[in-house]
Amino acid sequence: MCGKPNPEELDVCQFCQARLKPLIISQPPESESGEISESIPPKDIPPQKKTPEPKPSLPDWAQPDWLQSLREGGDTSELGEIGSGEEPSDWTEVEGGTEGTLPDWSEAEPGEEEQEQGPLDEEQPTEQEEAAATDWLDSLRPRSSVERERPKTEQPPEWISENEPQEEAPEWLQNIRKRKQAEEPQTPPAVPDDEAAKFLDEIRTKLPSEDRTPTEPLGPAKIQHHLDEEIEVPDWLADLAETPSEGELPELPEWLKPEETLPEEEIQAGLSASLEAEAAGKEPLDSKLIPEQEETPDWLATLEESAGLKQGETSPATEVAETGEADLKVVAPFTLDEESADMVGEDIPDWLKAVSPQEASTEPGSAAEGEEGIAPAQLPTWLEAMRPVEAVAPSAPLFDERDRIIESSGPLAGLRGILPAEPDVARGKKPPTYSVKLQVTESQQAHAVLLAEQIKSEGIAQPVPRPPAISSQLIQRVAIFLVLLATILFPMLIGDMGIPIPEVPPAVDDARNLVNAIPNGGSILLAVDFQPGFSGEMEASASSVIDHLMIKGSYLTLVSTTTSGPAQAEHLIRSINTLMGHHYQDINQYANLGYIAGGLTGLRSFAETPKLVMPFALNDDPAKKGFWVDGRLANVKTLNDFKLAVVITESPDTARAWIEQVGPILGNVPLLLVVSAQAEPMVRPYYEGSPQQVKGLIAGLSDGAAYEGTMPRPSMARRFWDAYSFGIPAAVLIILIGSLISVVAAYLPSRKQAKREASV
Amino acid sequence: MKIWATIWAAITISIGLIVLVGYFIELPILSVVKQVLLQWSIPIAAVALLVGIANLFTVHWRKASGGQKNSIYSALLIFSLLATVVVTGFFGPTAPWSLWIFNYIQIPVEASLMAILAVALALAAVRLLRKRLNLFSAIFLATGVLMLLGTAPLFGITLPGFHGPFGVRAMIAQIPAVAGARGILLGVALGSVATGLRILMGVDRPYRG
Repeated sequence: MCGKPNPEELDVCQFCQARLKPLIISQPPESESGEISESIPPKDIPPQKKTPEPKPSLPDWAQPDWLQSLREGGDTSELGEIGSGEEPSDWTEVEGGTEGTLPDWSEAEPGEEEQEQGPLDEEQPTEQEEAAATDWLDSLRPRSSVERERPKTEQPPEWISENEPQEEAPEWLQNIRKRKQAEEPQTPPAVPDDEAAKFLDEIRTKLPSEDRTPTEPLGPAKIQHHLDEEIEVPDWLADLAETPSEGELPELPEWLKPEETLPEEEIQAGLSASLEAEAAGKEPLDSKLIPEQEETPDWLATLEESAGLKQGETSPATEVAETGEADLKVVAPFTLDEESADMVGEDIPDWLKAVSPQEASTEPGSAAEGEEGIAPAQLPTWLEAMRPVEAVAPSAPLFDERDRIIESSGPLAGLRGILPAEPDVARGKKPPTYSVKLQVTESQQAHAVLLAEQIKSEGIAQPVPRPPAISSQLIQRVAIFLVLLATILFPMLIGDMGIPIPEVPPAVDDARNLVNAIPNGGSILLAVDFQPGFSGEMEASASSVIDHLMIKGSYLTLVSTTTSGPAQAEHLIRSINTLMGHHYQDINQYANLGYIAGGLTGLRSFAETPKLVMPFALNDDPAKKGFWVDGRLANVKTLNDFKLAVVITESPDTARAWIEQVGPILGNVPLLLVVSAQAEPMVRPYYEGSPQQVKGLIAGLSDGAAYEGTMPRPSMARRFWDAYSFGIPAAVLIILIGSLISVVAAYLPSRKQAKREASV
Repeated sequence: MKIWATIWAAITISIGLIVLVGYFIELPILSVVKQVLLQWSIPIAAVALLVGIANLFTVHWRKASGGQKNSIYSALLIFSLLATVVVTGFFGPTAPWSLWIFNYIQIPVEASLMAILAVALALAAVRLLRKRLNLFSAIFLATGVLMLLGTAPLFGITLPGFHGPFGVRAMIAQIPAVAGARGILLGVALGSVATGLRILMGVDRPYRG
């Protein structure tokens, strides 16, 4: 049952007190057999193998009384009902009796005690009976450790001796013997038959009459008592007659063992059969497996008590389970496998047939009941069904991990595989303690430190790395500057290179026509609204127009919507005076009205009431009443009284403001715009629109040069035209060549790097 | 405080409506009121300019007196401001000394900045394709190059297709550029109208204080 190794001479396991050597049993009681037969369905009967016929059974005189009592209480017909309601199987017959009849040694009836021959019977046993007695007695001898370690190929146990006439033993027994021979052949102790027979005779003669035909089976103690008194007990029998101590118990047949000592395989088989029977609606086997209390022989009960474990001790089966593997050398308890089933044939009780070799079992929980004084109880069906069934096949018993749990208290102390009395949930366990402290791993800590440093660094102003003193951009700027400077200075140093002036565009031609159309000495409103930074372009563009106006003797009324306008206007007039030789210096030639504040609103206001908005001139003569009164603008009431309005600006917004605010007020007064090249796209729609809000448009130095080309004398634009003609192509070349170089320089290394990465 | 906001809004809306209506309806009284209102805007704008100058002075004065970093430039600004105000205020805006400051300080400085801009733009054009190489960058660069080439003769050489009133430059400047400009102008006009209407309706109140 436990699977632990035991010496071969032992008949009972020294750990679990299980019977190691099966006994040849008689017919079980009727009630038991009958119940068993009902519970084991025929389908569960394992296949039976043919085994040689067993040896002749023990003579009646050699049969223990308990066996005889079992025969009396049982009904062979009940055993036959186990499988298919047949007569008791032949497995109960040891000798070559007819099928359906119990062997003589197991058919002891109370009334036939005289006829039956017990072990102490005075009748001379027959040769067969002596042999049978010798066999089972031999099987009771404790096995030596050496013999136990013999491989399985050795001879089977004695009680399945091959010397027995096969034809006499029932088929089932023969099968059992064959199977045992094949599985665990063990050399029987070398006991000469003569000596055994002689000893038996002595026993018969010495035993009291009452014991010769005992009503109860003689236990080993009793035998030992008699033997010690009168008979010189052979060693082999002396060992057998010793008071069974813990671990040294005679082997009981498996089917006669109480539930505590029944082999695990059988119990498992019985349990499984019980389950199946219950499922099939038949009675369980439990009652059949477990012999009745009153039929348990004393010596068997003694064996149970001594084999029982003390409370708290670890069962040998548990120790085996703890080792994690089954000892293949351990003599497996008898279970009905296929061979046994074949031997038994159809007469095998159902409950015995249910013992399947495939069902592996650990030590049953009931086997752990070893407390002294506790009688084996009949386990309920559901409990029996829960017993693990050990496999009969020569394989290591399977150990369920759950069987490692050994009950430490209570009546089931020492047993394995027991369901806990209370569920795991209800067991008082200390709740797991969880640390309140945050569990941080080293990597997490390192990451947290990095994150903290990054956050901290964000609040700290990082020092701006100083740029290198000489960078590529600086070199490029210097190079561009030098090239442009060279190209611009060259024509200026050389002088007039005679570069042709561009053709006069229509807008410039219109502007020229406008100026030509004004009468000489007419009042011209001249708005100077460009920034000092654009002085070079604007003055060069507007110089021809102003020169033309000055040639016509026009009165220039200078006004500006920028803060630097008045000064710019003065600078323009003085430059043209200097360049072209004019003398526009006082209030009689021009009037510098100054800065018009208020942006668009002021311009609109000036457009509507110029005298009110700009009552004074910057260059007015304080001695006089004012140019609006008695000066050249005395006849000018509104802007409609001017002959021409010229706006010089570099900003398209300023140009648009004059066009939108002043243009409607001007009426028939033409508006001429002199703008920079950058403002031309925004102003040209007013020139090309219909109605044409801008009558003339001069955009940039090129148009100024073109206008200058219509004049009889060159002005400022012509001086810049040569340098302009050289500078523009140089800039174009710089842009084209520089772009090509920068593209090649940027993408070649990247392609090389990409190739390197691809090759890697 | 809510009532003052209402008052300011009422004033703004009423004046705007009067001026707007005065553009469309020629009524003598309406025209007079409109003109008066427009004339009031001029000194108000001038005073606002003075306030800005005063604020500029205060900021840089604090910076210069506080010894902060680069305070020397604030001090220089304050000196320049005071000197110009004194000279121009004393001699007049068109006096020789005032013009001397303008002619020999303001004009050269601003003209130099424009000259640096030319070099910077040329360098930016050189690095344009390196920074952003795509179709639009290439089109932008090609258009600039064509416009430059059509502006002036190439080392004195006039190319018929490039130069002249019907050359490539003229075509680009008068057709696609003007088209884009027209769209921009229309958008600006519509935006101005919308802004004005919002102010007239009191939705936008830039005068909230």
